[in-house]
Amino acid sequence: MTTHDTPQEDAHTGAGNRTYILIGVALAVVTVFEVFAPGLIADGSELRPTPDLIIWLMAFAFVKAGLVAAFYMHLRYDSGWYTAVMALAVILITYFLWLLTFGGSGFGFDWFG
Amino acid sequence: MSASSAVSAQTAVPASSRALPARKLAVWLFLGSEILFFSALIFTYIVVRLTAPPIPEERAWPAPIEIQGIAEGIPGVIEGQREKLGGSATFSNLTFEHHGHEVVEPDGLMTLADGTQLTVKRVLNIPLTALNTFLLILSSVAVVLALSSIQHGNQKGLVRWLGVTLVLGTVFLGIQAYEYVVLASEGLWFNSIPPWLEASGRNVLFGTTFYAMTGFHGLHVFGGVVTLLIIFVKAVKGHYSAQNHEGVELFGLYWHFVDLVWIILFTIVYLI
Repeated sequence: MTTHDTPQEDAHTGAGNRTYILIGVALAVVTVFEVFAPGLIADGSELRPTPDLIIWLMAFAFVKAGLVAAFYMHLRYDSGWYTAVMALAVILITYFLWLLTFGGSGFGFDWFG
Repeated sequence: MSASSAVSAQTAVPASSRALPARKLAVWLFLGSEILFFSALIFTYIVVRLTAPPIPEERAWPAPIEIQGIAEGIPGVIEGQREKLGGSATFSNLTFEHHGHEVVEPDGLMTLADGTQLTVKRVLNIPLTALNTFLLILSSVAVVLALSSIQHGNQKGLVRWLGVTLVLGTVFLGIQAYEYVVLASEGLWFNSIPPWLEASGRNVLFGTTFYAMTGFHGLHVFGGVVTLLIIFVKAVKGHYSAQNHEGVELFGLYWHFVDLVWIILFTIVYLI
């Protein structure tokens, strides 16, 4: 381990400060884009995001969350066991989402209805 | 175990290369359970949002931006307005354009071709919350820089960045409290929605789920700020070093997770 700030990546300390700041800037820029994204559609008495915009917004949110987990939470550099814990939770919620959509409860949601 | 067998065991399984730090693994397991907790909240929100009964035939859930005049109902011209507004609209630079002749700003007045004036109103204060999101992202950057500082033996950097995080976290809570006060004064609460939304048939569960999701997240931020205060005091006293900074690292994991959850909540609750 070095005793001064360097941009080098390290298995223990994670990415360098430059990478952290660049990730932060990317998160902020994407957030601004999300807020001002085109795609609201007038529907009677309301201005509501189009289905396409909803998909894009959710995709952006998960990419941003992934960046935070990979770089700030050091999953990219740390032991794979921590990633496994995270992955187990994600697999579980994906299964619950599947149940919610297609499962015995019979919701069968039209997600954009 | 004899001394020789103990030495043999250490040789066979070097602790430094194989063992996971117990406290760090415990925090990750806790965060895994937190993922399930917030997912349960989000799934409940989705189910409630998609199944809440509309009254009478409008959608039950408020859109991010509502056109108040139509929502409240203007006898005789509703269908005409619906027709005029039924085309595509773009959201650009805080203005809306309808059929090229109406340009309005959110929270402003929209004048239709027949002279009818409608109020365009954001249900939630998205710009203010976007600012709050930005502050939370900044606080995540500050935490990771604090950890990086102490990993390199820089105690002053640790104190500086933890201090920045403390300020940003507190401001986040302050803005959220302000948002709650304003929304409550307009009538949005756990069991109520503003009268103008109620008049258009929106479901009161909007308020319930809004406060449940953002409130639980806010409680997590509050818990993080209290923990951070303790860590900050210890950092000021020189408790942490390049060799001993596990507390900062574990706090950082929690704080980043809270940021991560907000990124998802902001999109689901405010933007969609």
